[in-house]
Amino acid sequence: MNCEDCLLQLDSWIDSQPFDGNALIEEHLIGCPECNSEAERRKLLSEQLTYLVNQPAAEVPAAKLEAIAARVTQKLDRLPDGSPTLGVHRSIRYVPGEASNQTEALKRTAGSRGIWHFGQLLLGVAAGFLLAASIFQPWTQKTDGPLISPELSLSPTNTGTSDFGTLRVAMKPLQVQLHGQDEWTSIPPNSPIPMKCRLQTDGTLCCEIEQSNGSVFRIDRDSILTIEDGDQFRLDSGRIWVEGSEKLPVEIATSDLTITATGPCNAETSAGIVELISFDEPIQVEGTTWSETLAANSAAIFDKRGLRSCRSSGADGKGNVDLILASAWIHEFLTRSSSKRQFATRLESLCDGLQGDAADDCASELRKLGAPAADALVAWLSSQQKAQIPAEARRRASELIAATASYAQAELLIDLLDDGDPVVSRNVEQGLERITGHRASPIYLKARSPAKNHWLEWWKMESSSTPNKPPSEQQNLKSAKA
Amino acid sequence: MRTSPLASEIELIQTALKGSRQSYDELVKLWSARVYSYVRSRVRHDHIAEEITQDAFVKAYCRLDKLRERDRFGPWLLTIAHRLILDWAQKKERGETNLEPAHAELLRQPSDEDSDDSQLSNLRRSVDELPETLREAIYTYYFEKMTYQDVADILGVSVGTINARLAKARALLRKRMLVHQGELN
Repeated sequence: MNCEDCLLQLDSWIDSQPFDGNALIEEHLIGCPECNSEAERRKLLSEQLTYLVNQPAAEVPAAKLEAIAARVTQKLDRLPDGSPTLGVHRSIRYVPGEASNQTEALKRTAGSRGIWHFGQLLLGVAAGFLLAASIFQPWTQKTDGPLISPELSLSPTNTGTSDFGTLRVAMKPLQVQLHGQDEWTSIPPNSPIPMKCRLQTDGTLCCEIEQSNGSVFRIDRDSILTIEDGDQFRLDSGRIWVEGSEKLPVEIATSDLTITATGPCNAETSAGIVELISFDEPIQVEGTTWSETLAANSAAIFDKRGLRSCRSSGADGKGNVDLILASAWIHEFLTRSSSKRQFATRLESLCDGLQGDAADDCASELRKLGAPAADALVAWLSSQQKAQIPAEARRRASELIAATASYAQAELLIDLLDDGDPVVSRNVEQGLERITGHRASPIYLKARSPAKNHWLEWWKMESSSTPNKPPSEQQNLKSAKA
Repeated sequence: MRTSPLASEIELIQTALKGSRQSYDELVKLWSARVYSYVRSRVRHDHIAEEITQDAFVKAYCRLDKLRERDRFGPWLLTIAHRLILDWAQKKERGETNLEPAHAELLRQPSDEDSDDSQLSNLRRSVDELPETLREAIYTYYFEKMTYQDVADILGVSVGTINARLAKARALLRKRMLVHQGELN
C-alpha cells in the first residue's frame, strides 16, 4: 500500500469500520513515519470531535431525565388507545412481486396493465354512479363478457357481522374468491363484501366499496385486492384509491414505504411511492421518520424520504384545471358529498379553460371525465357566449365531444351539426358515427344535403323504432356495411 | 450502536408491543439520556431538546410495531429524533416556533457548559461552519461513535454517502482548524 491509498482509507481505519485493508494500513503505518503522524493527528481530531459532540451527555441531570420520562408517560396516557399500533385504521400493502405468481392464473382479460389510464377509471366509475343513481339504461346491463361464473348472493346471514364493507358502485358484478375456496364468484352492486377474500377487477370493471365507518375505497381496472382481516387489506396488483374518514388515519404501505394520512384524502399506491390528494382541508401525513402537512386541494407524491413533489390548486381557486381538482371532482361525483351544482360549475371552468394557457390540461381532464364532460361541452358550445369562443377552442371542444359522448347524448350532438365551422361539424358527426354506429349514406354525401337534416331524419327513425337504445354491435356492423 | 442492545431490551420491546406500558417506560429510562444528549447536541436549547426527546419517545411508541429489527431500537429511535430536529428547524425557519434565535445561530452559540479550551472552541467553530449535511454527519457519527450503517439509517442516505461526507467534513475541519489556529497566533 502506498501513502496515497493509506491516507484515503485512514479515516475508516481510525473509525474501526469493517474494512478489508486494515492489515495493510497497519503494515504501512509501521514503515511510514509521515502517514503515522498523520494518523495520530486524525485520531486526535476524532477524539476531540467525540468529546465535543458528546459533551452535554455527561451533564444530563437525573432530575431532567425523570421529568422527560414523566412527560412521555403523560403524553402516552393522553393517547386514546394504549396499544403501540395506535391510530392505524387500515393497512394497504402493495406487493406486486409476491402476488404476480398467484394472480397469473386468475387473469382473464388481455388488457394491458402497467400504465394507469385515469380517464378510464373516471369514465367507468362515473358510469357506475349513474347506474347507482338509477338512471337505467338497458345497454349497460351486465354483459356476459369475461365474467362467466354465476353470481353469488351474499346475504347478511352468510356474512354475519364480519362484513368488510359493501360494494356500492360497480360497472358490473365483481369477482370474489372466498377464503379457502378456489372458485371465483361474482357479486352485484350493493352486496356485502366478506372478510378474508380476494377481489378481482378485469379490464372493464372499476368499483367502489364503502365501509360502515364511512371510509370508501375504489379499485381500479385489472386489480387484485386481498382482504386479510379486520381493516387490513393488501393490494396485490393494480391500483386503489382510498378515502379515509375524517377521524381515523389511514396507513398506506408500499414495498419500502409506510405512511399514515389523517384527514379525508385519496391515496394511490405504486411501487415505492404513495400519491395523496387532499380535498377541502389539509391533511397530516407521516412517514416512519418524517411528517408533513399537505395543504387543502393539493396532490403530493411521497417516497421513503418524504415529500417528493407537490401540486396545489392555488389559493385563488383559479388553478382548477389540473389533475388535482379533476380528482377532487371524481371524489365529489362518486361520494355524492358535494352538490351537483358545484360539480357542474367546475366542469364549466374546465370548458372555459380550453381557451386559456392550460388548454391541454383541460382537454386531458375533460376527456377523462367522459360523458358528463360531453354534456358540459355541448352546453358550452351552444351557450350565448359561443361567438366569443376562439375557433381553436371550439374545434378542440368538438373533438372532445366526439370522444366522450354517449349514445344518450346523440340528439345533443345533432344540434351542433349546423355549427358554422365545418371542422366542428365534421368532428361532431364523427362522434355521432362512433356512438350510433350509423354512417352517412352515399346518397346523403352525393346530394350534399345538410348533415343535420340527414341525422335528424335518421335519429327520428332510430328513436321511434328503438327508443333510447343504441344499436347492437351487429346493427352497427350492418349500418357500416350499408 | 457501540452499545449492543441487551436481551432485556428486546424483551421490553416485545412486551411493550403486547401492550405493556411499564415495559415501554423502562425503555424510556434506558434511552432518555442518550436521546436527550443527541438532540441537545444539535439544538443547543434545553427546553427544545426536552420537547423533541419526549416527542421522539411518543412517536416511537405509536410506531413500535414498525420496528422490524428489534435489536436496533436505538438507531431507530435516534432516526425519529433526527427527523423531529429537522422538522423543528424547518418550522423555525418558517417562523412557526416561538424561539427567537435561528437554528443555525443556536448551533453556533456555545452553551453555558462549553469548555474555554481554545482548541476545542476552534473545533466547535469549525464544525459549526460546515455545511449542514456535513455537520449532521459529524454530529450523528460522533454521537456515541455509531457505525456508518447506523448513521446512514438515521440520516436516510447510503453508507457510501456517509463515508464521503465524513471524509469531506474531516478534511475541511483540518483545514479550518489550521486557519483558526493561524488567526489566534
